[in-house]
Amino acid sequence: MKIGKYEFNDKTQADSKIKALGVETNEEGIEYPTHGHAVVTLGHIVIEEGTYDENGDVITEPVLSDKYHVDVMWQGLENHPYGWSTYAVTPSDNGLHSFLGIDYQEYKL
Amino acid sequence: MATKPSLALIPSAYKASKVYSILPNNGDGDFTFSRGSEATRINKDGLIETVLDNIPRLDYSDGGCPSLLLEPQRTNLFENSSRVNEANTSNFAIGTGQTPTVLSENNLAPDGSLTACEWNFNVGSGVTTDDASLINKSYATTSGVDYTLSVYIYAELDNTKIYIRAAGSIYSLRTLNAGWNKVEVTDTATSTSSSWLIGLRQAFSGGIINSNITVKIWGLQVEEGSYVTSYIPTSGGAATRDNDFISGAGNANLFNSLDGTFFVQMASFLNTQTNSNGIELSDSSGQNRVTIQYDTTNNQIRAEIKVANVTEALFFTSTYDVTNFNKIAVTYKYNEAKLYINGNLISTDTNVNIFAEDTLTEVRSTIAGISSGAFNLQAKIKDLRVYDKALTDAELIELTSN
Repeated sequence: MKIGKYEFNDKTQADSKIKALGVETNEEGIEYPTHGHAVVTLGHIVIEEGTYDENGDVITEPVLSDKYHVDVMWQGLENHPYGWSTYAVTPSDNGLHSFLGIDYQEYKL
Repeated sequence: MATKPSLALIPSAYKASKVYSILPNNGDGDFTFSRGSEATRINKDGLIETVLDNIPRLDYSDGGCPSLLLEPQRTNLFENSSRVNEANTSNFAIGTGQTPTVLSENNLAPDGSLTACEWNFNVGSGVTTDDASLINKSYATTSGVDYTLSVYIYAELDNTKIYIRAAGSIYSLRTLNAGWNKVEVTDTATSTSSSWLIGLRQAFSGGIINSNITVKIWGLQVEEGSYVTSYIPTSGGAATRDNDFISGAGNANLFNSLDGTFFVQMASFLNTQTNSNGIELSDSSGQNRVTIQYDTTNNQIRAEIKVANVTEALFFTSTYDVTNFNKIAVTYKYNEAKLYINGNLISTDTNVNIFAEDTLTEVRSTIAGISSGAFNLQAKIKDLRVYDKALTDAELIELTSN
C-alpha cells in the first residue's frame, strides 16, 4: 500500500485521471470503479477562511486553492500510474489530509 | 430448529484481516476482512475506541450483542475533531447575543480522553432572529451535494435546545438530554463553500429557546454523504476511513449449490440507498449468485438468484424499515425459490433453473463480485447463515421471526 498526493489543474482533469484508472458500467447503467484504490477528492480546498452571516450567506468569500486536490491510497502499486506523476506533490508532513492512522511519510510514493 | 447451518457467523471473534464464523469450526467458513485505514467503534463499555487497519469492528452502539460494522469510505473534513475550541472555529454574535466562549478545554470526552471543550452560548435578553450566539467554520463543498454534520454535545439539563447546520442556510433544532448526546444533521450545499454551525438563535423555526447554555462539545465531524457514519478522529487535517469489506467465507464443499438457504439479519444505515449495496452467496465471478441487497428505492429489499448471469428469481419488497435489524432468508432449489422476512413469506417463484453442482463457493459483502467498494454492503450484521437445504416454511418462519 502506498499513498500519493496530487494537485490537478481542475476537476475535469482530476475526473479524467481517476476514470482512466478503470471503470465499468453495471447492468443498471451505474458506472463504478474496477480498481481497489481509495481515491479521496478533496477538491479546491479552503486556504483562507471565509466569513458567513447567521443565514449562511457569505460576507467574505473564502480563498480556495486554484488546484484540485486528490489523495489516493494505492493498492499494489509502487509507482504513480501513467499520467499522475506530473501532478504529484510531496509535503514534508501528512499534509492537508491523511488516511486514518496511516503515516504519509512512511507510505508515500 | 433442528437443522444445522453449514456456515454461521454471529459476530464475536476476530483478528487482523479475519472474522471467525462459529460454523464450521475448521476455518472454512471464516471471512477475510479488509479496511485500509484505522476506524472507530463503540466498545462494550460504551466508549469510542480506535482500532487498527484491517481490524474488524464489533460495534456495541445498538446495545446487547455486537454487530459487525461495514461502512463505506468517508472523510471527516473538520481538521481538529477532538478540540472544538476557539482556535479551530470561528465565533460570532448578533443583536443581544454574546460571542461564544470556551470556559475549559480538558473535560472528559466520549473516548475517555480529556479533550472535550466547555462552551457558553448566550443570546442575552433578545427574542428576535437578530439575536444569536454561534460557532462555525467554512469548508469547500460541491453545490447540490449532501453533507452531514455530527457532533457530541454534553448538556447539564434535560430539554436543552441547540441549533446545528451542516451546510446551506437551514437551522435544525436539536433537544439534548442531560449527559452526552450525538446530534447530526444532513444539508445540501448550495455553493462551492459552506459553513457548518452550532449555537443559539432566538425566534427561529422552533420559537424562543433557552437563551444561555453551557455545554461540552467534542468529536465534530463533517462528511460528504447523506447519513452519518462512525467517528473519524482528525488532528490538524482532514482524515479518511477506508471502506470495510468481507469475503472468502466458504467453499464448494461447504455449500450445496443445488438446494439451500441464505439468511442474514442486518440493518442498513439509511432508508434510501445512494447506490444499491448488498451481500451474496456466489461463485468467484459473481455470474452465479444469491444476492440480498438494499436498493435506491425507499426501504426496498431485493433478493435475486442469478444462474450464468440470467435472473432466475427476483423478489422485491418495501414493507420493512431497512434501518431495523430485519431477518431475511432466501431459499433456492430447482423450480422453487422463496423470500422470507421477519416471519413473513414475501414471494415464491416456481420457475427456477438452479446452479450446477459445486458452483457456489463464497459469501462476500458486495453484488456481482464487484469488490471496488461501489456496491459493498453498508450495514450492520448480527447474524449470517447458509444452510445446505431449502428450509421448510415452518423452519423459515422460526428462523426469521423475532
